[in-house]
Amino acid sequence: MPLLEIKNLHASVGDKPILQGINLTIKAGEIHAIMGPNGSGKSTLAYVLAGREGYEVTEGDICLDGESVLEMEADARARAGLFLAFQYPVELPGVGGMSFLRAAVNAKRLAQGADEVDHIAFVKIVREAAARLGIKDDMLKRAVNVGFSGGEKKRYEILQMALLEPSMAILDETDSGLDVDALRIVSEGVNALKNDAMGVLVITHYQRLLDYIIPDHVHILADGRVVKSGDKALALEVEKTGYGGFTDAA
Amino acid sequence: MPHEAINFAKITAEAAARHAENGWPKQRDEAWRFTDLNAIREMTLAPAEVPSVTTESAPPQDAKDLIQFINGIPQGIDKVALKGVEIAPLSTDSARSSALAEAVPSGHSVADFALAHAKDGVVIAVADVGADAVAPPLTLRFDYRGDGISSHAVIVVDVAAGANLTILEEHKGDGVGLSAPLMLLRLGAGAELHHARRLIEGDSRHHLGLNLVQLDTGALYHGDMVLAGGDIARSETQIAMTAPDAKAYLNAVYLGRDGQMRDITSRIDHDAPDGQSFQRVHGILDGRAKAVFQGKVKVARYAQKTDGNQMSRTLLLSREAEANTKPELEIYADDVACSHGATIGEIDADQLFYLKSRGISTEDARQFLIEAFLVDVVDALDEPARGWLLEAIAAWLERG
Ligand SMILES: Nc1ncnc2c1ncn2[C@@H]1O[C@H](COP(=O)(O)OP(=O)(O)OP(=O)(O)O)[C@@H](O)[C@H]1O
Ligand SMILES: [Mg+2]
Repeated sequence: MPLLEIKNLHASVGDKPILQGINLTIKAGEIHAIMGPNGSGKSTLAYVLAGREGYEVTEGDICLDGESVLEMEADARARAGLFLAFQYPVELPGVGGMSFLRAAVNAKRLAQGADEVDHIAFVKIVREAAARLGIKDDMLKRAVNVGFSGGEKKRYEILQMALLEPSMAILDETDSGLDVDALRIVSEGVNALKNDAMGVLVITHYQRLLDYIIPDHVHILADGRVVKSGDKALALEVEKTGYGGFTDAA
Repeated sequence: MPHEAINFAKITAEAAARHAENGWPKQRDEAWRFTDLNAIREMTLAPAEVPSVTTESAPPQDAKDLIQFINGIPQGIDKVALKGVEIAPLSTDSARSSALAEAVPSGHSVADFALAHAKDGVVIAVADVGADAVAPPLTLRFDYRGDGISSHAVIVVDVAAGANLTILEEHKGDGVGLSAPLMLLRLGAGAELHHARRLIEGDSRHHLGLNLVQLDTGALYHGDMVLAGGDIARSETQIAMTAPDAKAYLNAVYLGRDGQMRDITSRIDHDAPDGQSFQRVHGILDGRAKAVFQGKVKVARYAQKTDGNQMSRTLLLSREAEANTKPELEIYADDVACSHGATIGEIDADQLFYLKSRGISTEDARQFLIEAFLVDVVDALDEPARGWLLEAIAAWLERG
């Protein structure tokens, strides 16, 4: 059974149709990359998968582990194993980082019938995971994403992913805003989490990220449709020729 | 010329006459524009009578730091035994009675109503007992009972020069009724008053409170309030800084739901140089609740180097809730730093989605954001009373 199956997905924001029939199947252990011009619907797809309100599925289905998630709210999808690393992580002034991380981890644990995480043990787990991603202790004490630099926000997304251990991770332009060293650290972070049971969908503009997180499949999204799929060579082709040829074909 | 001492009965009789003539404030009065008192106007109210002392009404015997008011009438004030604190009836204190009569703003119908039916008042006089003998907080517990009763507590707090007092004041109780407490708080040079209030009366009660604060040189008034109860509930504070270097903090959290009305009104008169006032008001409204924060800061021409700040924030949990803010800065001095800011908003959809996308339930996510909204005002609350005030906020939020 595929891990994530996107079937003829049409979705609108407000009254505006954006996704126009997307088909995509991700099996456990696979890494898929989506590339595409600005405004082609990549983030919209990510939000629709994550269950954001206001993004209406007008046709088609999304199945996680064979079950449709369309009736599930964002929090239920997350507890079922879906994770979205945001292109633009949201600042939460007044929400302490540690209590946020603990609430997220506990929500998942309770859903799985496990006990809440031990307070002190959790702080240690977070510190260690943060250190591996080059996140300073001081950042952990601040309000979520408040006063973080662009790159710090992206690392913090991957920290959350590391703590939540999702079965299906969607990374929306996690590479943008990262310096070369950070790109390597974050990619190593993702690769370390990756296992045979997990699927990853990487949204990116740059083939450079795909040197680190090596995709099994690459898809080109244009005007809300997958206009071409291939292997890693497709990413290289895009880098050379741009999207012109693909969008015309659409 | 020294003021002639006048007696308490005369003061109340005159106030009663004024209230009978003027009636309740109308919405065409600027200070009452947003607060409709029709529900109160239509009530049939009988002033509270002295309760027969039953075991139920008697305060705990060992409470040396507590004054209990049953429907506004103080019980067993002779039991209070706090170092440096003296409690006495106001009616036998003609100097303080006169001071109160003078302090009441003319034409203030609610103050007149409070005085009109007050059987007696209470004087709380605090002496300077030295820095290392800080008294424990004095609790003023207002208990309201029965239906159709209006309560008229009148209190004069006199904190002598250099003295320090913490008051924990709570208003609670059920039934249909109106509470109209009137307080005069006089702080001598260098005195400090930390005044924390929980207004958590039942849904069918109304509350119209007035606090008059007078600050001498270098005095500090720290007022913290959680207004979380009652149907129509207004808390008005007027602060007069008539001597240099006085400082006032006014922090308020107001919480309303259903068709409740919340009114936070303040007026700060900076009439001397180097005064500082900091106001922070955060409100949360659900259902069809309405609120107004009207804060007036007046800086006289000679009140140079005044620092006056006012910040109000409102979180609307429902589309039908309504918040109004009316800041008024009247500044006649040229060397001052005065500012005000106001925001009114809803729970942010992006923030809610971000939390939910991490598996946190809608309810918990909203809770996170509501608490986050309160962070700044909670941080500003006076340390010793903070936990006590937070309990009232938590209880309101739990009722959801
Ligand atoms: N809330 C919205 N209301 C109306 N249109 C929207 C909304 N959100 C997105 N769109 C539109 O949907 C289209 C797809 O946007 P989306 O953010 O998915 O693009 P993207 O592929 O992620 O682009 P980028 O590479 O710039 O991140 C754009 O034309 C955008 O303007
Ligand atoms: Mg995007």
